[in-house]
Amino acid sequence: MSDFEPKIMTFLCNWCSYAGADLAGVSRIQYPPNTRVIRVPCSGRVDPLFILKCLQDGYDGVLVSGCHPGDCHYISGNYVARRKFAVLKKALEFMGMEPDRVQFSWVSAGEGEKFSQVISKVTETVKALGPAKKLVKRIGR
Amino acid sequence: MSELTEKIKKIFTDEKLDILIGYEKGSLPLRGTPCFIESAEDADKLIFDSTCHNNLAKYLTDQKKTEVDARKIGIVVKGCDARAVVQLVVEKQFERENIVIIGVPCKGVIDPSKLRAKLRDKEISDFRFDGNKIIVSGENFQETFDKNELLSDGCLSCKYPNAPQYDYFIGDPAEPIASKDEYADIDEFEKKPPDERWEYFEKEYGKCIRCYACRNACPMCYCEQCFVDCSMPQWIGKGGNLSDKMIFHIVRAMHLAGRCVDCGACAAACPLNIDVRLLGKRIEREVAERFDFTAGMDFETPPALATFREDDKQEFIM
Amino acid sequence: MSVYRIKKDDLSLFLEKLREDFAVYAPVESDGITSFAELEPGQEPAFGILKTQKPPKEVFYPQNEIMFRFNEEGMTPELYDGKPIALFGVRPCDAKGFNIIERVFIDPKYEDPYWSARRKGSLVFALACNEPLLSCFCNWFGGGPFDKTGSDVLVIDTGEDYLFEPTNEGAEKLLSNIGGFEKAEKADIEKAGKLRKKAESSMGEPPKLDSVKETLDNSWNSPLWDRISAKCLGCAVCTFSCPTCYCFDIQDETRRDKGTRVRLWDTCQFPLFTKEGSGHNPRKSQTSRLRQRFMHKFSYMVETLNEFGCVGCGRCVTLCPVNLDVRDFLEKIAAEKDK
Repeated sequence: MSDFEPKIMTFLCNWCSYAGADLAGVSRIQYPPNTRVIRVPCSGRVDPLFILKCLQDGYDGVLVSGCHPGDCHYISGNYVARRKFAVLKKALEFMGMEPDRVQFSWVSAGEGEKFSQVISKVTETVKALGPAKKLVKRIGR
Repeated sequence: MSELTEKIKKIFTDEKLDILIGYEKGSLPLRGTPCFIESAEDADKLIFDSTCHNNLAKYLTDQKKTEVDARKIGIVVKGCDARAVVQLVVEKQFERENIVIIGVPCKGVIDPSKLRAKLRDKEISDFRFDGNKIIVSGENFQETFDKNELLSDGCLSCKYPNAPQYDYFIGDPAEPIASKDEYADIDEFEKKPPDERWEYFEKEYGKCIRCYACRNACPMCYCEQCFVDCSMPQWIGKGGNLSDKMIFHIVRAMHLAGRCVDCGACAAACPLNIDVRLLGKRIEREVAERFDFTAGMDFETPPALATFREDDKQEFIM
Repeated sequence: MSVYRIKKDDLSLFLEKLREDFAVYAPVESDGITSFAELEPGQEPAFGILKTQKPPKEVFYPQNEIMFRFNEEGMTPELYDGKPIALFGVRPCDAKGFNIIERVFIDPKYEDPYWSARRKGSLVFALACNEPLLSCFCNWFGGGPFDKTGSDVLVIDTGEDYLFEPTNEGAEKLLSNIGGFEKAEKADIEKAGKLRKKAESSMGEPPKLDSVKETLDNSWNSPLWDRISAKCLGCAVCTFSCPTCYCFDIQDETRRDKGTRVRLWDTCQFPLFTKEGSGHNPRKSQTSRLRQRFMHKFSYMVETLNEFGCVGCGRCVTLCPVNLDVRDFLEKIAAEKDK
């Protein structure tokens, strides 16, 4: 499985993590190319359905990254998201899904270095888990 | 005339109700059925006992959708139904003053899907309650069940058999049944290895025929358009794929996080006896332990997932 | 047509022989669900079940059926090409239901290949109901617990034996080819007659439904609809479990460069069933959707097929989460006429 390259979907908050990714880019900080980015207005915009949909479509892992607590552009979006994700993560774990496939992080616009570390860590963890099997939609059964 | 009908007639007149939602005798044994009373005289047909399993709070949001006027609606509620009504008020689905909540003491309700699984096609023509036993009989048989075998799963560990909020309460408050630890099933299930747990959910949700009876019976599912009914974009496929069925059930459970009152309406409605409760109960536990929240207890506390505390635990964040 | 007799103990042998040329489907219970499934070698059917939770229509008309697969190169049609199907132990109501659905899928101008592929060459062995249930009302629509409509062989359980009563020459020939039968004696036939009488009389007198269509046609705007539909939840339990509901949707399930086209059961009870591309929905309320279900079964089908679109199996009665009983409705409609 060593040559397995996971595909990871990342939902990045426009105001922090997305800018953090930008900073990592302009600072030429290296990180694994396994992620695909969807920019969202706020981590609170991310519906659990989006995460499940990614897993269904064959992504091996999903990362949602937003502003640090207290830094939300909309005051409280990330606080509400935090509750939602806490429950989702527990629910998936309870069902028997590998909990590390779905990850959450806080990365600010100034944390280019942290962004690259987060991506490296998620990629590594998901790589170790191997390709996703649960919830993946197989056409034609 | 029973105490129930007598008091309800008085409430109907005193409160100038336009409509009252209660239960009447169903067309099959051990089945109560919802009914809508439009005048005090009509109230004679009302009943309330262990056969009244439906959660009538469902009809409050339905009424709201078909009627633009501010009709005054009375509703007969068990503990769980009352909590659903309260939760709906908190979620601003209707005005508190338009609803008259009439609490009745609940000794647990019979889950028709359990009855079906136990009796299959043996048909009951008569039944009676004898303490904690239910004796059912038909043409060539008589069977005695422990009441707990037929009660809805939620009833077995129910802590709130009486409405926590009400305008009227008819009868003496019931004692909680609590014959079983609330989270015993969950603890047991969590001991299994993850793959086995996943297989269990695949097996259960795999039976789903997407009739949406669970969703439609749920008082908390009142969205004008459900995500499964969206066609642009179509979030999940309809072609019977297992993955789509799984996602429907996971998202349904997630949407009920911090809102579910564990009334068992979904499980009772399922024509195929799917275990739709287990995941919801685990989520309910997470909400209770993490956010110290129980849905539908008072009119002030906002739903757990629509609010936050700055110091909420975040051990799961990288 | 003669009547044949076989010892109960010999039935499994008969089914084994039938399996040589047919895919034999019978009522089974698995995972807590009763339905019709193909018998495994040596598997005994669960004859104690009158009403399987899932209707046997799904054997000929599966809930989800792949019509064809496609990719960039083109498409590959998919049609059932297994052994002909034999359904054993269907109840007379369900057997009658096949005939009704069939008239939708096969008419003089058009034949549905997917239905035909499973249905052509099939055999239906209906098992007479010695003890109809409280929720049974087949006799309301001209059926009965011993009715032969829609079946090739009527099987009667007389206690120690099964009597096989073929309804056509093909079926009779098949029975004699398989063998193992004796000719039924007069006593057997008398016994069956008694059972039949007992079963029929246990169902009571059906109400007069002659005027139902006419009353319905004049009741489009009646306040009755609001009253009847008030407790309806708008789920699909009644229609999905109905032996005569046939509406379907067609969906493409795609992933990157390949996919399948699937035909799946749809239901008039869902708002999406009639929602138009513009967003307009002609059947916006549950009242109008429930009206459609009842009008279709008791008025439109009378018009197009000259019979009621209900066989009285009672699945919708027992499975409905709120106990909305179609018999109450029919009785109310029949009473409307008297007003």
